[in-house]
Amino acid sequence: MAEETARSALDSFEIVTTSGILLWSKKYAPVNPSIVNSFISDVLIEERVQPGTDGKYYKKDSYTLKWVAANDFGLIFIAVYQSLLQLTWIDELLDTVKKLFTSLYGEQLKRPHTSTIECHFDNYFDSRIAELERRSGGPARFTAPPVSAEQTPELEKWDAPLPPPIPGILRAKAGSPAPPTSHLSPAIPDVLRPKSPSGLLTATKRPSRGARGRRGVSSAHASSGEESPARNSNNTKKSGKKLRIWDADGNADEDDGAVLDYSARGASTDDEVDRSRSKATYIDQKEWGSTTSRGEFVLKDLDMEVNAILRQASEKEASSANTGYSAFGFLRNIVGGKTLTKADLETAMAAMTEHLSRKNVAREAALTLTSSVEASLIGQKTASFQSIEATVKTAVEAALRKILTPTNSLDLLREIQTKRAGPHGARPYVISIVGVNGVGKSTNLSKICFFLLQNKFRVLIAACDTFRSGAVEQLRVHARNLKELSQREGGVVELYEKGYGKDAANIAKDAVAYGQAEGFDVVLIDTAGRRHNDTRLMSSLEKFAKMAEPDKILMVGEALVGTDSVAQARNFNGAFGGGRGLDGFIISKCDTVGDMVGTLISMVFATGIPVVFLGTGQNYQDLRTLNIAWAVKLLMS
Amino acid sequence: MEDPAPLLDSPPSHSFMTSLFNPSLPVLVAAVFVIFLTPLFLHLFVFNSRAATNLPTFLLVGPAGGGKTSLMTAFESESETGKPPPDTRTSQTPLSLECSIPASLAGTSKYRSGNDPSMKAFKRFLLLDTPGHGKLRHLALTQVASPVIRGVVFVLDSSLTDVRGTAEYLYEILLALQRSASVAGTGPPKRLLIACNKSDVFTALPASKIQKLLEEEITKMRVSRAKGILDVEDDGEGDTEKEWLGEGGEGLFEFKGMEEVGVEVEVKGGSVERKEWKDRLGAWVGGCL
Ligand SMILES: Nc1nc2c(ncn2[C@@H]2O[C@H](COP(=O)(O)OP(=O)(O)OP(=O)(O)O)[C@@H](O)[C@H]2O)c(=O)[nH]1
Ligand SMILES: [Mg+2]
Repeated sequence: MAEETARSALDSFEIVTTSGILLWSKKYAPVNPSIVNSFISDVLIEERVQPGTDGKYYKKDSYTLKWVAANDFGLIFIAVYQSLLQLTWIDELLDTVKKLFTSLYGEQLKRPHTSTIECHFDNYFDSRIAELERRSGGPARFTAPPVSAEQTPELEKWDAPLPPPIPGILRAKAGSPAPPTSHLSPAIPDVLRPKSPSGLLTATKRPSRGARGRRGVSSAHASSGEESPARNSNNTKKSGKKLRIWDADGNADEDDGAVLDYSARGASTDDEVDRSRSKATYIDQKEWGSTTSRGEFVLKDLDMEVNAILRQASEKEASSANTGYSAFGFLRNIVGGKTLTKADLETAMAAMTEHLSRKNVAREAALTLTSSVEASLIGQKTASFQSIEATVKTAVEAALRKILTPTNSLDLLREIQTKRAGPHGARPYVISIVGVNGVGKSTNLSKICFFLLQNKFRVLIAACDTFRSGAVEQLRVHARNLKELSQREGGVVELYEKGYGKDAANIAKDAVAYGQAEGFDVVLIDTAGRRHNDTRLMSSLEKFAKMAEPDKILMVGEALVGTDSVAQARNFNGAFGGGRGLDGFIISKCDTVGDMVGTLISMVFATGIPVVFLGTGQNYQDLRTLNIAWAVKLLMS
Repeated sequence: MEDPAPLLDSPPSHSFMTSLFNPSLPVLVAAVFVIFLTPLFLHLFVFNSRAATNLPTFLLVGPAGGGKTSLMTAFESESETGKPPPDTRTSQTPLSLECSIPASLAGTSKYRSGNDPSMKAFKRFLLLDTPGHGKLRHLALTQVASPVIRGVVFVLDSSLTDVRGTAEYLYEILLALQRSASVAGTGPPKRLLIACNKSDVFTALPASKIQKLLEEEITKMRVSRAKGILDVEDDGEGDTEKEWLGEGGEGLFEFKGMEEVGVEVEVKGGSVERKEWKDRLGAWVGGCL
């Protein structure tokens, strides 16, 4: 069995809870858990989008990962396969597995204070993947999914997927997989054989290989019988005919020997079934009919159950979309416990986007943020006595907090100490400051310098703005002031300058060498301001980063800048080449914008790089660290 | 002519009856609301009151990949389900699980005889797992001060590849505990267990070594924190004194010293893989109950 399943194009499929528990998985090849872990960290927590993927998939090592989330259950479904393969059916697999799994085990998943669920999902999954691979003509697995007469009752018993209103569901089941022109009926209760000459799906009585310590096999066939009535009850105009054809075909005789007495019971439920058919069902049926049919293979028992569940799930989806405006929906909005749909969220989300834009968050950032919040809310239930608006507000707050929280906090003093604790004559700690013209690079550099001097470090300032006249003089003034201010405290500061016109990267390199020779602790490098869309000047940053090898590259951005912030941050972050990016932002002039601190969000959103300092005034001590609670409060006010 | 009297009488009663059977729209709506809302309120009431009967909770914190979720599920499955624990992946949301330890381990049982029937019983409690990812730590930090939390378990990987990162998180937790202890005033001490997990791995350091490294790191850290750049909410005037972790001045930071500020710290090594936490964590939990 193992060799056969190993031929799947997938490497593994995992169902993980957001709390980090692997509920179910199928492994076709060994995949290191770190692959999935880094996917969760990068994509789901840090919300990084790999360039070129459009957020639709994730690549790590030689693997590609695709996923889908079920927010209402806190589940993530992850498919892992080799990047070399072009698999067209992964999306459908994820989608259908999600529907199946949540329909089968939804109740269990809602139980509090437990981590495990009783789940025997292997057969369902196998059936699905076999079907999809078969249809795509992909790597066909010639073994039938391990369904056997012995297995079925067990499944029924433990999974109990279809509580009382079975007739309805099963009728649906029967209808859906019937291809429009098919001569096959979906109603064959147990293992079926293909009508095609290929005969690939010979009925196998192989007992299922239970992946996770299955219990012993029970021998009752009762449940197979129970399932069947509805299959036969397919007497709608559309599919009833097919059924008869199938009966005539005589495909019903089974070598599995399950005695199935469905016709009688089926007849009795026909009417109810038809009456209960909703419009939605009808539409879904067509949909599923067309997708699940290939005409040549007879669908198997499990396949039909699977299809039934899937279809029920789509029905539910369709019907829940309609209840949004009913009186009860209105009530739910007040009392809570309403399942959120896209339609419910639309107005609240639009209002939130507007609100964020007013706070000077760049449009692009605001839209992406709200749509990611929206995606995370769809399917969730509102809490007791919480309106949609309040729910949205809480979610946006959490999203803002998450964006602003750095993955690693920066303790500059500790970092410098650690670096300087090395052998004597080690390289100084190098910080370089970049940014567009006039945002306050030199001012903020001086503020950092002042802070370092207070902590008794020896600081060398390197004037690498060899472009704008007056830049060197400006730094000279700062250096003189700082010297006066810090003399009493015991700090040492010096300016390293080589005039104008020379290559900035070379000066930076020389400055670091000089700093090392003279025993400076820190070298602060000021660079020329440049427009982020000036390709010539931007490209020189790459050489600069190579030559100066800064420990930290900080970009100064103005709090006042609006929409431009996203492009600025992006272009600077990408300008250093070779995997080097920015290490942090300094947002200047924060004292001038009041509560419109949206630039914080825009810049961090664009790059995933944290804000390390805020400039809050004209004095040397007006440098602050970001307080996330403060920022979120301002943004939501 | 006796009719008029009853006739005079009847209109009011008649209209009363009529109105009773032909309610106006607002009345109808109100009635419908009452009918619908009563069960809802009842449900909420029952639901909330059940949540209110809280079990004592122990919080699991620590850097990502330390083994918090594994430890919790291992603890649960040994005590509850008896099945092998599920595998784990990076957590994004907190999760609480109901666990139990034999009552004989609980602190109050010290003086009972071993044959006491109550010793056969189990003490139930909740383990609350939190994500260790840097961006999601506030989920844990906001919980630390909660009154339902009986103790905090800081789970770390004994290989200690990132001393600074680990110490930083531990520092935050210690500071939060210290804060809540000082708010609570004189009460039982806040308890923290530093669980050095994965001791089975060959790169693992012994717990005593880990303690020393962390103490050294925190010593340096609290100095640099005290001198660090002010928070944007500080106006730079008045009380700019930053919070200082532990008692006393600059000198070496020691976990023992935290007792003076109402935080009891214990360090233990162990491994989920070798199923060692059942006893070790169990004993500690018992001491807290
Ligand atoms: N060798 C060994 N591995 C362990 C031990 N405990 C946990 N692990 C492994 O460490 C990995 C991470 O464990 P998790 O429990 O997911 O870590 P976590 O602390 O919950 O991580 P986050 O949820 O990301 O914060 C898993 O692959 C575990 O199997 C142990 O005692 N020994
Ligand atoms: Mg975890």
